[in-house]
Amino acid sequence: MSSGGSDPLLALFSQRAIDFVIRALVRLGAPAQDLEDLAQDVMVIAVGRFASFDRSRALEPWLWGIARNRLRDYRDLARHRVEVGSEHAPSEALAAPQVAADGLLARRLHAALGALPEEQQIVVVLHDLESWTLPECAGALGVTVDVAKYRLAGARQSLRKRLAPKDTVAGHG
Amino acid sequence: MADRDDMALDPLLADALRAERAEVDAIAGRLTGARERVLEGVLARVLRDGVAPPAAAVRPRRVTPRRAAIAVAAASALLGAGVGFAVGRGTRGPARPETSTAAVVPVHADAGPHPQRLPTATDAAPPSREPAAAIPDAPPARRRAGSRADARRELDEPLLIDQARAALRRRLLDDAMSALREHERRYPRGQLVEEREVLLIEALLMAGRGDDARARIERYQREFPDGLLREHVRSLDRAPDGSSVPE
Repeated sequence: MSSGGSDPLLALFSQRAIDFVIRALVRLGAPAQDLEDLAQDVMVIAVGRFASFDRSRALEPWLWGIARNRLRDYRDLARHRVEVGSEHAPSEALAAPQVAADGLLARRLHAALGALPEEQQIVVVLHDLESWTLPECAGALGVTVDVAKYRLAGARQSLRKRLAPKDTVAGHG
Repeated sequence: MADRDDMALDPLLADALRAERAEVDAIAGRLTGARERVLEGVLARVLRDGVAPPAAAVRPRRVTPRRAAIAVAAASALLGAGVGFAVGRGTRGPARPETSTAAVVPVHADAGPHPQRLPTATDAAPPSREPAAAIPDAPPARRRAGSRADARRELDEPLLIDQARAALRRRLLDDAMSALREHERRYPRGQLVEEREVLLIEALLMAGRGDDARARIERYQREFPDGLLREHVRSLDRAPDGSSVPE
């Protein structure tokens, strides 16, 4: 697909793309106080790497990957800072302040999501959380609908297992 | 290949997904002006030198003057529009690079995107202005010989439901109803009839047609007394104004 004469880089600066980056960072567990800085980082990295972006695809999976890597680096640094000087454990330092029941359930889902392989993560995010259809997901990821469906099914199965109360999960100690 | 059970959402996972969407929207919604600040920050950094963020393990390519100019143009257009930060259904859906010309034009949260889709059977359905109370009876789908056709049917049924659900989340009621009608026409006794009925109830509630929704709820409760979605339908019944329809 071509960009139809306009520069695809402009799409990076759309509200939709920026909103997606912010939601992605929340879903990946970014701490609220650093959310905007991390979003800036992701966007700057994306601008710098735009030449390597496959313009026939949707931006979101690519942005998700950048956000995921950026947050991993951030956590590595945060962990290091904790080791050398902070009395807080990383999980406490990164914990969101939300305490409502929905917030707890959402955080459990985020934890379960974080344990999935990236290829399953992104299809859950796009389909179940961003409300894309399976054909849209498949198109964005460059796979067939069958493959997208297969990944989604595997992801949901894993999420179900991780979300279920521990005493109902077969084989769980 | 995924079987149908794997594709079905169990109640716990469905609740978790609903809670997650609400939570993420709430967190993002509290960040008043976040989008503008992010844009300003990106713009400043791109114009300055395009350097990598301090903690990044990999350094991004240096930003060329042309890219910086584009960034300025895009950010100026977006910032100049004075848009509010609204994260919701209206900002979701695939952001295709080829839509970039329009991408810098603010999208209101209630406008609702209509992302590019691959053609589906429901695309050929005639548009309707509002959801119908009852899906017209239709002849059962033709039986075709051969495993290939059967396999196609197996795949299409969840896709139609999936399409209806996605349209409902974006409040594209006509699209949702088209998909649901198509599903009923092709799969009158399909594996996902229960889900279809629930989506139809949600569509009617969303359209403000409480009486029709109520009739469908009663029908659902008669036909699916032990349905997997009965608790959800009860919650819809308790809030006939549609406030329980999943966002």
